[in-house]
Amino acid sequence: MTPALKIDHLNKYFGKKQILHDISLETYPGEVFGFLGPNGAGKTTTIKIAVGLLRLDEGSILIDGKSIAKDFEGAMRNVGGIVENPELYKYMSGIKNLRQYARMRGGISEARIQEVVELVGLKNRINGKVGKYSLGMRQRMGVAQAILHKPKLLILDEPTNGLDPAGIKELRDILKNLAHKEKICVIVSSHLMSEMELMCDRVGIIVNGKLKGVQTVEEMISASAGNDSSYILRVSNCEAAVDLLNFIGKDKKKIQDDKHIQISIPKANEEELLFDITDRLISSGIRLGTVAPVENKKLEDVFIELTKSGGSQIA
Amino acid sequence: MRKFINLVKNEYTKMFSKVSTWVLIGMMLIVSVGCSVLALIGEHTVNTYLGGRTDSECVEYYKSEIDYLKEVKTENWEQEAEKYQYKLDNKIYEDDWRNEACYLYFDSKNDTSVPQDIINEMDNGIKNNDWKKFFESALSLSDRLSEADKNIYRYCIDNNVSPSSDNWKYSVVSSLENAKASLAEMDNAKENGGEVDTLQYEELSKEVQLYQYRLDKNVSYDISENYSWMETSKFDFWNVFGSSTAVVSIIGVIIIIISGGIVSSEFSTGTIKFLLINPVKRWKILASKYFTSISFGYVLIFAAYLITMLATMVMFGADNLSASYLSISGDTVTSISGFLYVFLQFMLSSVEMIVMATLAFAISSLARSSALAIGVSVMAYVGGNTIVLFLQQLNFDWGRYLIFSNLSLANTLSGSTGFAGQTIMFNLVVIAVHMVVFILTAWDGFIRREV
Repeated sequence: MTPALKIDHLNKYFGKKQILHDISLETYPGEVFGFLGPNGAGKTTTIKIAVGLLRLDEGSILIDGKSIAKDFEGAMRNVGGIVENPELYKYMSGIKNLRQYARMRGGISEARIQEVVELVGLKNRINGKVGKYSLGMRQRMGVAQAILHKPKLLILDEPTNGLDPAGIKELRDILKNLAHKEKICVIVSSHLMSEMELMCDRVGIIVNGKLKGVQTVEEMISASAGNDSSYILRVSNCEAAVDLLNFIGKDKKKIQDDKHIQISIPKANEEELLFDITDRLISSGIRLGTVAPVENKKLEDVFIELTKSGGSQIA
Repeated sequence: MRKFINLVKNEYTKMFSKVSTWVLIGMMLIVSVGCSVLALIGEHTVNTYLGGRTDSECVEYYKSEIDYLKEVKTENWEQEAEKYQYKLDNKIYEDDWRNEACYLYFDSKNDTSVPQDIINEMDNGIKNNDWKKFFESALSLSDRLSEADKNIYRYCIDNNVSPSSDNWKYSVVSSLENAKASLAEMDNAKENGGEVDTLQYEELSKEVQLYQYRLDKNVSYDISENYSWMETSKFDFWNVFGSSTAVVSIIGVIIIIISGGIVSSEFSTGTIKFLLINPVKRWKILASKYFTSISFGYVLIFAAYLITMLATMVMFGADNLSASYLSISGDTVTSISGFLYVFLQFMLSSVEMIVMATLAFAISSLARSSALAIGVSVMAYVGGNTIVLFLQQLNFDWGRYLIFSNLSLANTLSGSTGFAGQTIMFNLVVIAVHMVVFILTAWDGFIRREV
């Protein structure tokens, strides 16, 4: 399969300062790819180079197999995007704005424009001036113009910015639909890590201009979570319970407070062990209230863990 | 090409969606119509000031002159008084060929050597308002008539041209013969070793050529004769319409404002990003913006041409529409239609507009500041002539290479250049060099810059 976006050994300098260090990645049709990084890490710079806003200094970028350096118009025909804020012509109506982009890309029927307007939920307001739109509405306009020409690669820089929770869910559904049903490659950058976790199939983390790694969301979470599952037990006598569970290593169990203990057990035979533990406690006369699983680490924690090496200063 | 048309269509859509564009167009309309309205008001003021005597004023004047002569009794007062009485009796007022005829008639009448039957013929001619009879009898006293008058009378009789003041053939033949007579006088003076004003001599020979051409080719109205109402104090359709080229300078400012904002506004509003994330190369976007502002300038100029034409027609009447503009180069007289001539004047004035709009476009693209682009360019557009004048006063000859000294193509064509010996080619080369610099600057600012 041809990668929708193929970045190869990309370097970028602003003056003498190197902003991007040897970035290489591939994204494919049918996936939502999350591009994560703290402020100033180089997410937007990478996106801007890919859509032709910044000059390509070193390396190559192919969009659907077409080089942006050699065949700019061919490559850009397959890209739709929002970079930074969705700035539209405020003095024109929404529909007039969309017609502008339709004309620039060519071959877009009025019916397609109406279809997109409906898809982003702006049907009732599309004839109003964009200057009167809220940020959320403008964000929807941004998505509308980006998908107007059915691009193979959709790049959205912080698309959930300014959307209400219902709007975020809608957008998530739209993007997932585009990727999984219409086989578009969607690249999303965002600071909302929990949001990314729900939306993305794969995630690339960029820190200080270096790509730290590309993994599926599950891979990333399980990799950092290790081989154990954790549970919190509510028991009548914490100390007796800890003593009783002698087959669990000392560092895998601890007393949280006078009512709760936390244990970690290998995932391999998690169920068997759990039954065994509850049996032992009850049969030894210790009363057992609840057994609650401790939630796995979220992408947020993984992200912070991965990026903390950079310190709190923006690079 | 299709893509380029779409880009231009986009630019026009954006431009016409802005309220400011409509305000500017409104200003242009006001100025276009306002020029002829002002001329109409001006005409009334000037005419009441300079206008001749009406018929009733003439009657009053003749009567008062007669009373005065009777009272003062100067030498030959009776003859003078008789002349006024004669005019009064025969209702001879201003703008009448008989006014002039009276002088000849009375001169002859008081000369005993003139045969009585000729005097009677003349008297009859005047009394019956029969110019043919009068001219014929006047021609028979050949020694009393100047060569010019003889020629005029003969021409009128031969071609049946009545000598009324509103007959163009009569006024052209009069001017022609008078100019010829002045030339002959100068020739005479030259032969006798006198000094002759060569500039005046040339002017007169040109006039003779033009008048002769008009009689030969039947050109009833020559715009070049009274193109500017400032010279003739007479307003008509052609000189008011002709001076409406001033509208182009208003359009120039409008186009500078549009060119100065068309690139930088995309940056200041952030819309540049959505504009560039498109399968269109940047130079095409830049070219479409440049094309839009310049083409809009010409749309406005065409509109202004039509509007001022119609407004002037409404206010000054649609007479002499077939008028021509005559010009001389060497020995040949060329004639173009008046409408074409005024149109060419509009086009020549547009050169300055294009150059300054391009300057605004370049600054707009380089500095991304509309205010800077518009400010600098409008200053250059308005103040350029002042700078040139200043340099001329100080005799700085290098001023000829400045762009400002080379923008008035109409002046160069008519021979009145700011610096001696500037040719139209020189103008065009200086303009071309500046345009290339401006366009390369705009190019560099837009194509190579990172967004």
